[in-house]
Amino acid sequence: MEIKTNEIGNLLRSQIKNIDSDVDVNEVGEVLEVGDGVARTSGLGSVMSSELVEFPNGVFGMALNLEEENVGAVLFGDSSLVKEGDTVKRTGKVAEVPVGKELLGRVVNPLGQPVDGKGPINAKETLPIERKALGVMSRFPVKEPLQTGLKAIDSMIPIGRGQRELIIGDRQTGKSAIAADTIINQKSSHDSDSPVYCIYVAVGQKASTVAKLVAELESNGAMEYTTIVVANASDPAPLQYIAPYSGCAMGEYYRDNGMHSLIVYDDLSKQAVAYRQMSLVLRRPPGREAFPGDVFYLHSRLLERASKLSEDLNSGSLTALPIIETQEGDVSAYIPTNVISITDGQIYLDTNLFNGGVRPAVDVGLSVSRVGGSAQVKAMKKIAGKLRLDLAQFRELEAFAKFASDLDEATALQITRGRRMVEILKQNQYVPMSVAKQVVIIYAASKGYLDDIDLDQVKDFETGLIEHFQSKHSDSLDEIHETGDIGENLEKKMDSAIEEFKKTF
Amino acid sequence: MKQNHKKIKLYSDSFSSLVTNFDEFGSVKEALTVLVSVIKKDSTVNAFVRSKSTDIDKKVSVFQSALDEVFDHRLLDIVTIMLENDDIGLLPDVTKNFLSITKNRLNIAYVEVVSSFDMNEEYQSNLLKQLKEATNKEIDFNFSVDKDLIGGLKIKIDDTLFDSTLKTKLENAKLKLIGV
Repeated sequence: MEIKTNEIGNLLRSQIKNIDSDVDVNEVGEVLEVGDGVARTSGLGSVMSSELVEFPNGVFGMALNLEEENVGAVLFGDSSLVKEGDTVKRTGKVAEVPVGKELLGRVVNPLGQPVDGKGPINAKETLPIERKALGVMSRFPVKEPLQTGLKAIDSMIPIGRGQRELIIGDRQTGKSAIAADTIINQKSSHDSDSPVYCIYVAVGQKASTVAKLVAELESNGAMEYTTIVVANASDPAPLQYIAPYSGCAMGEYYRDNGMHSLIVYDDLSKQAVAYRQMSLVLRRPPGREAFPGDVFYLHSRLLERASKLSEDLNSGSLTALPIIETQEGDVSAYIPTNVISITDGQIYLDTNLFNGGVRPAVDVGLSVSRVGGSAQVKAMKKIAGKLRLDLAQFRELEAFAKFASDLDEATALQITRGRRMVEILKQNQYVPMSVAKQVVIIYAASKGYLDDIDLDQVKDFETGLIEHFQSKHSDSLDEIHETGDIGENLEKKMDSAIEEFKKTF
Repeated sequence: MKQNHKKIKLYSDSFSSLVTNFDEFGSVKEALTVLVSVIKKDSTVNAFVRSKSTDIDKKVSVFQSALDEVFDHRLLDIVTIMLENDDIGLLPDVTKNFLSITKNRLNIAYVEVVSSFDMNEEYQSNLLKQLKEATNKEIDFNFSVDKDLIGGLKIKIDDTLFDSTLKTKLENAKLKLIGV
């Protein structure tokens, strides 16, 4: 074997020359001042709006204010780790989060990093947190129901897949409970061919509240198809600000891949407050209630991303349930009016109803679903068509009856039935009900089968009737479930089954 | 704020007009940087400059007699105007702006080299030569040693940082491991 020793040196030298020296090349700037979760930096001449920038000690930030002299960046980490004169690097990336089914069952922060101690998330894909909402041609009208499992909502304020339905009410009126029940109720969808994946975005809440919710979802088997995005009250305002966008990007993954997803923003009032804090520190001019001028856009661009896609785009959907907390029932405050005008309806929860034992405390008069009607199951539509009106009339008559000593028969009947209707619409927390069972009990009430049942017996009657149907007339429940409709025959079968049960009650 | 912005631009343009080549840039830069540093760090000078009770004419005469020997008279004239208008507090921003506009005008790159080891003169001049060739600009060269970098060096050319230090590589590896 011939070895050309004189060439070895040259070969080695040329190889050494070609070694990639692995030099980090970054566009950098210098921190001019830092405080209140915001850093002002010089340099970074080519930084993009919303681009992630890296500070020392692993602290990341997002460039928001691109000014002539400096760049204002919000910090996602501990601002005490950043000091004047530090170098800040561009990353060239806008803020993005991991997406995909790898996130199911996990609790993550708004940057997509796990906070549940279950190890790293090996997601294969990422999506930018800020994305433009889809245009008109990519969308399709809302036509499939999204069952919440709550009788009061599914019957009178139906929600469709791709809809944005606001849940609004004072503190302690059961807003989060409705969202949690809706998530738990999606479990049944995972036995069908169109499962709904859920994302719960907790903004500015106590960590203990979120931990309680996670435990509840776990015990109900709902975490398997749910991701929790959490920015606690103790997290910096910028994290609370981006949390809904991060969650939305995670939900969009399912939508864009022909699947269905549900996202709960709990709550957007706190996100608006975090945004106000950030904006004031960034020296943006304050407007009404000290919110910046673009606070409407803050929510509109987020909620516009919820949509039902056209068949060409595989018919996926992202349903949004934003939550807004009102102060003393004031729905005409700045943020509530903004979000009411953006969404496709609202579920208004009333403190007096809640305290009066009506739970969920849905105020039927003020609640509305603007597009969900077309997505409602036919059977429910048939029996609940008059429910809303009947209840409204009942409320009016009930108030009137307080002043009248004797009432005519028709009025008395309406009040009797109304009271029973209200009773059957009450529902315990974490006990969502299938649509077939809802149809059976509402059918019984609207047909007057409960009129002669004592008010305090109505709950027992309901439980017994459902058990009776499950044990002896499960075919009727199956038929409602499969066809989603009540034909004449089924109606007769249901009548006889209810009468049969009533005899034994 | 806007008014200050105008003044900063006016003063920095005036300083910049004194500079026609790289050498002049170096001497004006040094003079202004030293002056800013003295006013900022020397408590006696700082108190004197900020004092509202001291007459402006007194301030001007102190500065003129102190800097007459060491400052170019045109440079001193501008500083005097700043004193007379009670604008000497703007000097740090004026200096920053002066550096920025003059560098652009004279095609000068600000280069900061931080090394984990001390470089001899020859090594530094070799590096300077290569930087000139690479950037095709005059180089405002600044060198310092930082042993914390462990190995390798950082070269910052204006807003671009070339970092081959071991410290950064270790930090990057750490971030990768914790999944950031």
